[in-house]
Amino acid sequence: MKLFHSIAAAVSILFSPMMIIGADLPLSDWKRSDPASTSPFFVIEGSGERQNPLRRKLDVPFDSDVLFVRFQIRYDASSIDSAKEGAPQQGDGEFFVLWLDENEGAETSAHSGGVPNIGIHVDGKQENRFMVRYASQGEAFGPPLVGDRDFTIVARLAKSKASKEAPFDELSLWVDPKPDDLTKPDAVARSEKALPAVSWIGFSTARKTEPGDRILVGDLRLATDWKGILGKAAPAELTEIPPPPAFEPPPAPASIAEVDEQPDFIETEHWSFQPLRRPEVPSPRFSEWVNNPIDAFVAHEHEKAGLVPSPPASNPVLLRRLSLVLTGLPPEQEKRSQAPDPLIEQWLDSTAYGERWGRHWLDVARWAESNGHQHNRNREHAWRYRDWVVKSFVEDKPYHEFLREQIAGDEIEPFHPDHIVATGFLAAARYSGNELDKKIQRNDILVDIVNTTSKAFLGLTMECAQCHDHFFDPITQWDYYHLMAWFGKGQPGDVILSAENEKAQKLVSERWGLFESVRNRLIEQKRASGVPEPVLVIPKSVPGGMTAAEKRAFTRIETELRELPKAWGFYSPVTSPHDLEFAPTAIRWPLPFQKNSLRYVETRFLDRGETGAPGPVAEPGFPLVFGEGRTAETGSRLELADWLTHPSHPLTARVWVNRIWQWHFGRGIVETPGDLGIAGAKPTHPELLDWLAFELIDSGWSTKHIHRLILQSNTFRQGSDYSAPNAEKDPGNQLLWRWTPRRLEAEAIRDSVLAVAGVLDSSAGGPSISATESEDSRRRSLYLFQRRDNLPHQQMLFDGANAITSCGKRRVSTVGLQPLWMMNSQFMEQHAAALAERVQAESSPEDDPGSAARRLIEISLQREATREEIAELGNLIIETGLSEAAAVILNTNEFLYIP
Amino acid sequence: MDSPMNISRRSALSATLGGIGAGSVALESLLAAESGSVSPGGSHFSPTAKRVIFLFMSGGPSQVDTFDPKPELAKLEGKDVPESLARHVPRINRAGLKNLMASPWKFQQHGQSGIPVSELLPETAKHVDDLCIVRSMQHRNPVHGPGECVALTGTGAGDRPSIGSWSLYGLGSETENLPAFITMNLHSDGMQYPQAAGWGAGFLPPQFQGTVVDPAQGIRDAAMPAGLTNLDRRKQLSVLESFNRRHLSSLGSHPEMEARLRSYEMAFRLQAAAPELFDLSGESRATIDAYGLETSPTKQSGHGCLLARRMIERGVRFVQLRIGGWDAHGNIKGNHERMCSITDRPIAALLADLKQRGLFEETLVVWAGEFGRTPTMEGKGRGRDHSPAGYTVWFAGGGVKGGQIIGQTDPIGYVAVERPVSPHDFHATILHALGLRANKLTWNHHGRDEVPTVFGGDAITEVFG
Repeated sequence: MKLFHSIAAAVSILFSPMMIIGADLPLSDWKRSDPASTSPFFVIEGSGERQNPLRRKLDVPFDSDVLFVRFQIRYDASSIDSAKEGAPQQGDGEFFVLWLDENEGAETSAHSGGVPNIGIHVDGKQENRFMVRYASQGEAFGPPLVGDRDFTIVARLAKSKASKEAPFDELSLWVDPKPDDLTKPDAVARSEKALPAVSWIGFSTARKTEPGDRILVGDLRLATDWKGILGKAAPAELTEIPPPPAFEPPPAPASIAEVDEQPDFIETEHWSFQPLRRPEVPSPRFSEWVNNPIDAFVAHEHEKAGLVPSPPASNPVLLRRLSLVLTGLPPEQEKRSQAPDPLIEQWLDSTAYGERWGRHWLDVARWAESNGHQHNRNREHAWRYRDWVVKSFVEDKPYHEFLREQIAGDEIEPFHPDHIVATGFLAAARYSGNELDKKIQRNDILVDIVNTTSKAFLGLTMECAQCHDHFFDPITQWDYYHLMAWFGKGQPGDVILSAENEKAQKLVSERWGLFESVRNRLIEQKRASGVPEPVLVIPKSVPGGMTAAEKRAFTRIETELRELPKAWGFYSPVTSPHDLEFAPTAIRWPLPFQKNSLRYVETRFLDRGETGAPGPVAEPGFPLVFGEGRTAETGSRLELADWLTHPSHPLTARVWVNRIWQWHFGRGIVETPGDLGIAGAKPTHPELLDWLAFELIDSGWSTKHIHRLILQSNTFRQGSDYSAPNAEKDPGNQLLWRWTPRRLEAEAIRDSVLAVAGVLDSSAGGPSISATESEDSRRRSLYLFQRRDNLPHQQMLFDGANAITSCGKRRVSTVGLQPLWMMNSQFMEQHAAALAERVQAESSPEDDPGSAARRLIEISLQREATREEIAELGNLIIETGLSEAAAVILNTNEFLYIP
Repeated sequence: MDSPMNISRRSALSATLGGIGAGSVALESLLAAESGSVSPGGSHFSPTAKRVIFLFMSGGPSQVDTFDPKPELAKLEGKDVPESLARHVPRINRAGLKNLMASPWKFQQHGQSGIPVSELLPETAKHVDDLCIVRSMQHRNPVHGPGECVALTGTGAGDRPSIGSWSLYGLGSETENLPAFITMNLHSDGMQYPQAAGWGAGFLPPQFQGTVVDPAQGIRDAAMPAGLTNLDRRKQLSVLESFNRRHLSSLGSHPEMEARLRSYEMAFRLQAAAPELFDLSGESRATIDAYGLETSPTKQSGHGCLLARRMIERGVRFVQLRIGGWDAHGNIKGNHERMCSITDRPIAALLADLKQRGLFEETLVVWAGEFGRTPTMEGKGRGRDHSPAGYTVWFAGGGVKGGQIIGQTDPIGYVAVERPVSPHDFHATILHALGLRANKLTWNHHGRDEVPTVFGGDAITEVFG
């Protein structure tokens, strides 16, 4: 070998070790996919696709005879696939190289075919080994790769003929070279087709380097002789190899020691975490008032407080109350004089019941039909979840199954489309389509899911544990991330509702194949025209760049895909036993669309909840306070559902019966339905709560069983009469000595108006009514399109749920804008007129104001009118008109409150 | 929404109203609003402003092309951000470090203060001695939706009360006839859809939320059905009241229903006041011209600015005028020329008009976007990308010491390097003008006393001299 000292000097100036590894590393010298990184070492993450995350140009092309290159490498052990077991599968094993090329190439270019590659690949025995090569045929393998270990790699690129034009035809590799080895490389590759000069160097990963794989490289040097490549510290006589500089990993992730220590167990005396105890039903003195055990518990408290229950409500009032509570609509005319008990059964069987109670649950599930945030794309198939919820109530789906299907529907066997639809609960999370930081975006979704799931089912507010241990409740920040890990391997999307559907698979893969090839072409075109990196082509503009033939094929595929039924659901290809497909969506950025990549997603503890400060990996696990240990067996969400619905779980049944109670009475036994924790309210009737929880579990988790118990109780059937002595002892009616009337929710107001006007379109289910059509629609409010940030005006005006966070209890505001809508809006004007028409048609004689007044009250308020009312209203009809009088009745508190 | 509503500040009053939770709180505020008494909480110290006009420039105006001149950019045109500065650029997406781009516009010093303003804003520049320009705003969210939530609510999630709601909660309303917090969303087509959180009440009771008003249409449903007279409506309301009173009599006390009863009176007043508010026929020719109501680029925003003044005059506490369209990705020149031609004249007219009417000293005027823009070029289109690392806002009126600049960015206008100001500091400053101490304005939510400045924030007191 002949050395060219002058060139050696030039190279070391151009490319001195200091420039590459020192603290003053000039980042701008490297082209990197992650332009904002400032780490002195390079962390290269796999993507499952070919990528060149790091490239650098030599100041002067090198075409002399010998070039040494050296770098440090460490492969995370967890990143290394063993390709040995069983038949080698596509994608198994590792591939990672440093290339030396004449050209830079693009972000996704291959550097092969005469280009020296130094790195790692799978050998003939399916083992990951260091190797050198010029082309994929003709690899020369060295020692095997070992994870979590630093290797020093030295390669020598040499020309057998000394000429600027001659190829670098010999490529030798040393792995952790020893002085004795310098003449004995670990591997040598040869090629006459090799390139004669090097202008660019860079690192490549490809398909085998999967998302989540993590490779550290550093201390990259070039030199023209051994001494140069081993650095200043090399002795005059090469008797030993100086140790490489300490290979310091970049700052994050935090080690477990830095993160708060995890306790082994957590104890609490707070009531809601204590086991359910079957209480003894008390025997109050006024036993004649007691119709069922609910009354016994309530009467017991009455006696202790010296309260006397109110007399029962009149039949018209009771029927109105029952009908509004159960269906959100006033009772129909013909039911006015019927007995309550058979009617309860009729109403419980009705779709209208499912629609009202389904809406209650949709509040809790923060359900909506768009992504939210800025781009706020509509979710065209989200309505199926709404229909599933309605159906579940009508069919009295046992609550433990109701829960299970919602958080683990994609894992239930055998496959059933409804189970996928049910996962719309998880998928209802918001996400920002414009969020370019994919880690933040994914984290936002998971945070939403954890917060909603814990609030909905556990009745715990977990959100603060995202950043620190809970201030009040015995929930740690670790509990939070262990809970998050249950959901970490899945994601929301439009799931095609059939399993192992080969046609769907083919269409999806064709669609992405075509789309990506066009997209790559457009990127290349932009790059060629000089657009600086990173070159982005937004998905929306891809179809515009297609050739006519491509466009035709694309349209055909999209049309066929459109015909397949889908639901906006949550699916994990990792934990689900079913092979399902996500339908392609217009926006590709938001979420990884390659199912496979979800295998490599890890959930990590995040310091202060920041994605930029990841700590150790968190596996699926249970909050410690429940005393059953942390560890999960399978990590599937079915296991989480089983844990939540275990009869001994202290919260699940309590939380659900409390919600049911609240949706009857307006206030729960615990006033804060989403917070049974320490900051939540205390139960007014703790034994009753536990008794109901046992009733729920013992009845096979039947919601309707709880309904019947409540509706048959005298507690529920009390009148709302004021009693001064009672009010003095219990002004807030905490102990239920009367019925407290409460305002109807936004939906029930609109629906009731439609109902009494006689124009309600009671058709159920199906896609929602778009905003443009909603003004004229006479269907129930449940079916109006629920677009986040743009919910129907009346719904928001009357305190509808915001569809952003779980809403367990509607607020009631009273603002001046509400009467404006109630008296002036087009909707109210139209329907007051419709009600007037109905009244007139049913009055006799037709144009008698007194008769109209009577009929107006009968139809709207489902009771007889008094003489005083007939006189007042009659006058108003004469003076202003029947529609105007109808508008007044629709505005009365009596119409707008559950009596 | 779950809210225990055990509001410490107000528990005494709630209890006297029957302690029925949400209703009683709503009622109490309503009563406060109705009776004309101002503050549920009262000011913490003497305010310098009674009202706020928040000019929210959605999309992100570029600081280096408006109020933060950087001659250095001309020297570095086409170059990468020098390493010495690049290392301080926060590692957030979109923070491009390649291809610095000089401002296409010249800056000139104006007024006695000699503060430089871009030639894009000749009219605003005339008021520079009244402006306190803060050049060192900073946060980390480079995306419009969440960024807008950060700018208006303090966090990106959009679940906290807007600054307008906090202001109203702290001070109560001043008028019985109009909503106390009104927001107008102009030029909101395109990608930067208005974020409802920006006028939402978050966990505060709903009556503190902003009422969205379309300047062209006025307050929704304020017009009675055709053919109905005020007398007819009076008769309707009288029968309604009589029904409601009878209904209420059997119930003893029901504060919420009583409040509903009164809300009809309030609505009646509101529907009477609204047309007057939107009727500009009483405005002089000079005013119409000053706001540019009859010239095409300024028509819409001029209308918004003029209405803002009319609202303020009629006792509206907080007016938020959101003017969208500043998202200058492809072409900074075309975009900012258009946006400035839309906004410069009306905003200057608003400042002059407030002064002329003696409203300036009691009205805090704030101009801000959700973030600024990069000094580097985005792609090839000569546009600038989003950048929250250092951007400019200004305050005027309401006790503000004009003609001063607070804070500084680095030599290329990328990162706030001197006196960085967070959105929470910014919100605390608005509240400060209203006599409210941000960390004392609390609302108990989930057992925690929430404040407007969730991660801590302090008023920039220098703003007030």
